[in-house]
Amino acid sequence: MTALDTAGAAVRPAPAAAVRGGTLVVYRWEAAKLVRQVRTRLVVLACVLAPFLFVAALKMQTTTPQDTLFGRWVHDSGFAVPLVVLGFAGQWALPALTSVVAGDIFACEDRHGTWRTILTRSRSRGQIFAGKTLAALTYGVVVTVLLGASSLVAGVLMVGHQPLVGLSGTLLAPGHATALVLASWASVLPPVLAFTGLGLLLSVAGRNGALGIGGPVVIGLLMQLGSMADLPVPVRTLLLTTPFGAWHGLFTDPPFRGPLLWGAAVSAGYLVLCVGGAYALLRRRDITGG
Amino acid sequence: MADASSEAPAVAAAVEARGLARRFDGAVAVAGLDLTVGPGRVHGLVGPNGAGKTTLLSMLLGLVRPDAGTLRLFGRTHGEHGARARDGVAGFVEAPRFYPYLTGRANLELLAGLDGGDARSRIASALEVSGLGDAAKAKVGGYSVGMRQRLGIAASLLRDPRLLILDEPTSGLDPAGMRDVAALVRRLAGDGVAVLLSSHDMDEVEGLCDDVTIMHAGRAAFDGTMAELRDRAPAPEFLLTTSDDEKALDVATSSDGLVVAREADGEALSVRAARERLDEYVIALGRAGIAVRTLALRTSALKSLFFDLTGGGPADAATAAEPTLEKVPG
Repeated sequence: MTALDTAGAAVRPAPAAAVRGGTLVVYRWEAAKLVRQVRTRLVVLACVLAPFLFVAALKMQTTTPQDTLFGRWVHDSGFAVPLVVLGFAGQWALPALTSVVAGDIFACEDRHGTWRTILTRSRSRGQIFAGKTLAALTYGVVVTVLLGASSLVAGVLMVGHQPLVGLSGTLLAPGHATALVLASWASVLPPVLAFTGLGLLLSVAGRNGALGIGGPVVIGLLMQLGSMADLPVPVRTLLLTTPFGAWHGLFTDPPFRGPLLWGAAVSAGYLVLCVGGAYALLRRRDITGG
Repeated sequence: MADASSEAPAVAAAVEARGLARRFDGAVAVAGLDLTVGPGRVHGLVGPNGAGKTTLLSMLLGLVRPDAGTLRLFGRTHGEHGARARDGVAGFVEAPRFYPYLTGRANLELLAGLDGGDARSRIASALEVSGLGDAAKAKVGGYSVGMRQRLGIAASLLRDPRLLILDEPTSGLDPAGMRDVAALVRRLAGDGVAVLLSSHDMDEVEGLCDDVTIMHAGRAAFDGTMAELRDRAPAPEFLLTTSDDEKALDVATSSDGLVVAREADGEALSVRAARERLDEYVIALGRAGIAVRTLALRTSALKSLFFDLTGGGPADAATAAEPTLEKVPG
């Protein structure tokens, strides 16, 4: 029974290093939990496989999705595939994919009644919040990168690496097209992280996984409806869905990057507000039921 | 009771609460409570539903913030020391909860990862001590209440506690499990661990605790040692049926230190007397030619005092004996 030896009255305080590294400990702990969840694995698997299935479906059709940017080139250049996928994903898939974890990462502790289990351990609420938030943000980045990379690989492998026709009609060499595709996918990371923040806020405030996961998707769709309506331009530029289309400017000649920077700033604003609000709510909360 | 000293943390009281108060939506849960738990002491916290026991334990574990008062754990406060105030503190409030999609062992591994240090090395011994056995390989979703209780105790032991806070630890356990928990608590106390446990069962508290706080409406109706509590306890109450209750009542009138009354339903007599006086009364009944048909303890001395202090009555005895979860408002 040496491991449980409790002799001696002095309390051993946690080592300072352990306290300092608390956020990292919680991050690793949350990551270990996520890895063990079937839902998380399925989403990751879907991000890898879906682009290949998408291209396979396209190859069986003679028509092309011409209502989508670069849709008309999907049979002519593999580089059009990740851009078409990005166009679709930005509508609802990326908010949904990132919310699968973000929207439930706090609410699951309410569902399982485990707040009082984890908040009585050696980590502070701030560390637990920070660790969980970092894990959700990481997941958002991972699914975006996986979906983007898989789309690019699927396009190049199944269609080919032919030059791509840009939005100004200029032909983009494979190397240049690859760089622009990667930059395009990178440009949606800020709004993805902002939607992650939205999911985190709903997860803390609603204490309900369904609300946390579905809420950002619904809000995203409402924002898209708003952007299609005749809203004033300043309002439209503040919608979180607008940055998902900022990459279009990369494919013009000359390129315009202003929307990318503005979209990143708007996304950062959403992220800070949502994460700050979520922390304020969790910090003040009494754990009385779960 | 140990003296509290906030100046020397190494020998400070495990718990030192002064004027602790908390309201929920205007309803008083804890009202200016003082509590001291010394190292190596087993301190019982008893009270009827809604007395504030779970709120008090939640405040000790940092789950609920007090509205007023000071709370020190080994001389540290949550406000000044944050999570470090819980160093050496472990336990659970209400039923312990875990991730149902993981096994008991996997849950402990996760919690050990959260605690850091050498918590992981204590998993095997914690499982052994808690008596979970092979059930640790099964998913928690299939656990009974008693198994979750055992896992909760194992999870607490991972932290190598100097203060163990247990809310109804024997709730849902079979008699063997209750015996094991009692033995564990006594052994930990023998090693210098302070144990604060809540219970509805005065008999359990009497057999296990050195000190006791009886809570009523958020306040301490009694706070002292078990010996002090016994000194204050009134005579126990018995239920008596005889061959002639009328004559039995007449015999009782001539006896000092004995209170006999007819039950409301007229089917039996209630007798309040110390054991010695009861013996004399029963002998007197025999000499008077009255046969004693049944004689049963209805309310023990400590339960009687519990009811006196908390304003409950013998009718609440069933409630007092039933392990039910106290609901915290809000």
